[in-house]
Amino acid sequence: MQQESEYARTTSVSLPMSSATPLAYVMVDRLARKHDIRALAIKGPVLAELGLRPRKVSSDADILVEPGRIAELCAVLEAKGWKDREVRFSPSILDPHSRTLIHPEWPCDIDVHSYFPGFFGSPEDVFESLWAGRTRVRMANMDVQTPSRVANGVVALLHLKRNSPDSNDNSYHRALMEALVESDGPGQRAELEYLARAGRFRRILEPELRSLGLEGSFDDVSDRDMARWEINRTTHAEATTGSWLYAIRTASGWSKMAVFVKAVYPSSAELRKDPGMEDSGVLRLMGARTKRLVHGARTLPSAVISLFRNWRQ
Amino acid sequence: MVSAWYRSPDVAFESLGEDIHLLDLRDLSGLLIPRALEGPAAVIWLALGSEEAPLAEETVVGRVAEQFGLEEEDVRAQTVAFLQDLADHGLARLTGNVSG
Repeated sequence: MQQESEYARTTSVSLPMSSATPLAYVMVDRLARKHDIRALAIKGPVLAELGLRPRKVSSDADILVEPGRIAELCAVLEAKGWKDREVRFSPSILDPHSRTLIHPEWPCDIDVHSYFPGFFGSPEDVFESLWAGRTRVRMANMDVQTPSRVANGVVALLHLKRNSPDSNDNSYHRALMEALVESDGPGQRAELEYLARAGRFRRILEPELRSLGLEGSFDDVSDRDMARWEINRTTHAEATTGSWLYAIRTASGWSKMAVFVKAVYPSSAELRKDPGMEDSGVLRLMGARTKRLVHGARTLPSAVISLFRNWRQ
Repeated sequence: MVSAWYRSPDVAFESLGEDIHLLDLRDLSGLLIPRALEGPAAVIWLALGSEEAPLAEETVVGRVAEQFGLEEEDVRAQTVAFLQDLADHGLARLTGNVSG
């Protein structure tokens, strides 16, 4: 056996994602507590720890922070070398809800959410309801604060439904529902009722909530919000085509033209924010613009259909 | 009474294969960059006890020897030296109230 000369070396290049993400969750948990900021770990390995999905490597640590203090938590992380990831602007159909932070020494991102899309209750009410039922999971051999198991299940279902036009056929959806049905009982139902009152997600998760024994009205999301949700959900696979169409549709007066120009002809500075495009010259930028336009033209018909079908509703 | 070792409860760690990646969270004013333990260092780290269940030095040495298929005498000096190194950095702690 050979003796290591130092107890440890820094791992700037070799820190693997599977270790980095749990360590990032723990780090944020500790930093938030030190600064008296309420923060909850969500998604990813948290779900595996709670038996809601199989273990797999996650590339980001998702944190839900009390809504008024997202800037403060991000500032704490910025002091540790974490910076906002620069991404090319694309409009949001649902309200912007998170900041993605990156660090040169860490392979994973930290996504700091001030609310989670799919909850249509006020961000403050949603956070309070999740905080009230919080529990702890073991991650990187330390305790991390997280919403209750069933609340994590709701977050996972909302995430799944937001990003997938046919989530009900998804094997992950089936596994998630099986795990929640297995723990069904009066306690879980009461908690779901409580979460749904503050979170207003009954209409979004109606089939799932019915399967979990909830009854009563499922009409807690306005038609307008539901249309936005559906347009986002059904155009997600078309990348940003749907969101640009939505932005043009909702812009008023002359700003419609400005949004249109931005959509079809993004500036060079914007295009250079794409991964691997930092030092691109004129020819490469032209190629990227052409590729975008071809992709946009290909996905335009289905995005238009989705937009107008849901808009009419 | 014999001395017993345990990992600092404020050090988060993940093991992957033969490597350990740890994050020292005792001083949150630092930059908080993870570090790696590899080879024998990782084996010794995993052989340590927890705060709730510290392990006698002899047990740690025995675990390390078993892991490498060597006699305890062959690994004792290096293991104890490394434990002391960890303790000097605050990553491992020594307690004297465990029965051997």
